[in-house]
Amino acid sequence: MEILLASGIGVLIACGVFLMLRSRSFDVVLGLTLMSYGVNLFLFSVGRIGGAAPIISDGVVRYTDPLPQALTLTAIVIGFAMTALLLAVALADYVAERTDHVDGQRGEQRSAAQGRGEAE
Amino acid sequence: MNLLLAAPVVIPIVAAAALVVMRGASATARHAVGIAATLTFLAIAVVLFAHAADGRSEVLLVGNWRVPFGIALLLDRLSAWMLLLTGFVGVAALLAAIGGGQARALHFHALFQAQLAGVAGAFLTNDLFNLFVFFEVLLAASYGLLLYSGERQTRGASLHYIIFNLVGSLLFLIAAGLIYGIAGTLSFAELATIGGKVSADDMPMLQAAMLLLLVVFSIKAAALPLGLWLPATYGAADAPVAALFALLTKVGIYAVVRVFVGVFGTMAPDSPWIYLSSAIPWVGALTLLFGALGALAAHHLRGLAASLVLASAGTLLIGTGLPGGVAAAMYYAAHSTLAGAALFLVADVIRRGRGRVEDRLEPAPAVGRAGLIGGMFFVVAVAIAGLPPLSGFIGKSMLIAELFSHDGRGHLAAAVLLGSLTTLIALSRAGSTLFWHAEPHAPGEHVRRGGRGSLYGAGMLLGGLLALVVAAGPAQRYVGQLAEQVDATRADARAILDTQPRPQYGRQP
Repeated sequence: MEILLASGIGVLIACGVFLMLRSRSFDVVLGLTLMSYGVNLFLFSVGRIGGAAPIISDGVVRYTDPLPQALTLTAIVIGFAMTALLLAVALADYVAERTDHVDGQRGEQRSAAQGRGEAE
Repeated sequence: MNLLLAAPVVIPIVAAAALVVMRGASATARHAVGIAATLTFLAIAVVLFAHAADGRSEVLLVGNWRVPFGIALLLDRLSAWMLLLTGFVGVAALLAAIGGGQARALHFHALFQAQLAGVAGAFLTNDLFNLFVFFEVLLAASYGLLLYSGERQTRGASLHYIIFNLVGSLLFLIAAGLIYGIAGTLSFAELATIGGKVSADDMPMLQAAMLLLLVVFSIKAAALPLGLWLPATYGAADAPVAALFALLTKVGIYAVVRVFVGVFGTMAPDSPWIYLSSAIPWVGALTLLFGALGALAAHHLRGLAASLVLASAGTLLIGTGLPGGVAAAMYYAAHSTLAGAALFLVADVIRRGRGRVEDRLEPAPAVGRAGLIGGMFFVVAVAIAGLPPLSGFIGKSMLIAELFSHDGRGHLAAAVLLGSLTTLIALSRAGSTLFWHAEPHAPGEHVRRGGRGSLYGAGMLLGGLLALVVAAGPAQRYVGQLAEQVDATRADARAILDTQPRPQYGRQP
């Protein structure tokens, strides 16, 4: 279970970092989303994994720590809002610049490349 | 008194919500609400400052839960000092934004208030995760403030700024998770008590978490390898917004002081901060020199001002990494925030007065009211470069005296002085180009005037700088006591843990 969880988080973060380093804003947004999934899972696992009960019920003595769950919920909400905001900015940038390169400078180059493609 | 602690967060939040609802109201009504909320903020900051100056720290248990279960707000000299600074810069920036027309943008006032709420919350909270939440609040508002002008250059800079800070937030979450996993708490007061209780197996994890936290705070404070976003972002922001942003890097510095000097620094003898703190002044020195070089290379005055914010962050980091350097750093923080914000506003007045050339450092027809504006520029430049008799000199001399009182730190003073010299050269070059290389006006072209709002805002900030000089003695005493109070292991900080909830109505205590 531990190995599965740890490697799951690792794969999510690795994919996220890879995508985030790409130069197109859509890939960056996807990468950040994957990374925040990984981080949320990590936060969740901080409360230790194991079979303790989360909800108060009769005859149960060991409960799982509720705080990491609260932290994870907060992190999900904030991450979601921030991703939405980033998407809006990236979209506005794309509409205005006609390119989703993160530096917004490759417009001329791309239209030049398209021009060449049409000529061929 | 206790409930007043929540006011610096609650009042701007309520005002922001009201301003969002008031989208149909006239600009005058929105201005009125914005000004009223910001002035109230400043008034409460003054009251809290007067209270904390006596050395009493106040604790507010939010939601009436004891500390390990609930989150406490803490008012001590450090948070009161930063709150007062926030209120003052907030009023000046708002004045500039209203006079300059930027505040007419639909949700400017709401975003501005949200920004104040986030900054105030970050200064007051006594919990690591709550610090994260308030960081997000102030960042979300800063994204909005940066973006509303909608110019192309701003949008590009904003995208980088947002992405960079989102990654920083994720690192913050990882660090907070690790610390909770090891210590079982995120409250600063309780974290300060875990020194010696951390097992040898957990220590590397704790050190990794602290390094991650330091990275996050360095992003906020714009320390060198992580501060490259700052000049582009601040240079692209509107002047009143940039003036407010001069405060945001200080939130990062504040976090370093509160969390590292105050909480982790005291986990002796095995605190990783002992190793980290010896490296931080060097990072600060590099940041300072980089910022000063950036100022020398700037093509326009706003870029120069943004690079100088970087340089001041470097100077502050040198102070925070020294045992006993916190006092100098906090005095310099107040000075550099006021001076940096004033420079942004003066740059705006110059930009509006020069027409097509804007604030590019090229010879052009002189600005209107050149005597007044040039005089203000001169005063700000003297303050920032750290020449006597203004507050920059006092701050830097405190810092250098502190550097020489430690073995092996004396050569950092060379970095401080070199940074000051480079800043001085950059500012004198900019000033002589802007005011002395004035070309005659083309026939038919009239002298331009503008930026009245920025002028008033800059005037207010200069008044603040002057107050720091006039009251330098009491201010130095205050920051000295502040530095002693930061240590979270002292008895009155531990009192947070013993603070009992109030008895509730209708129930036996």
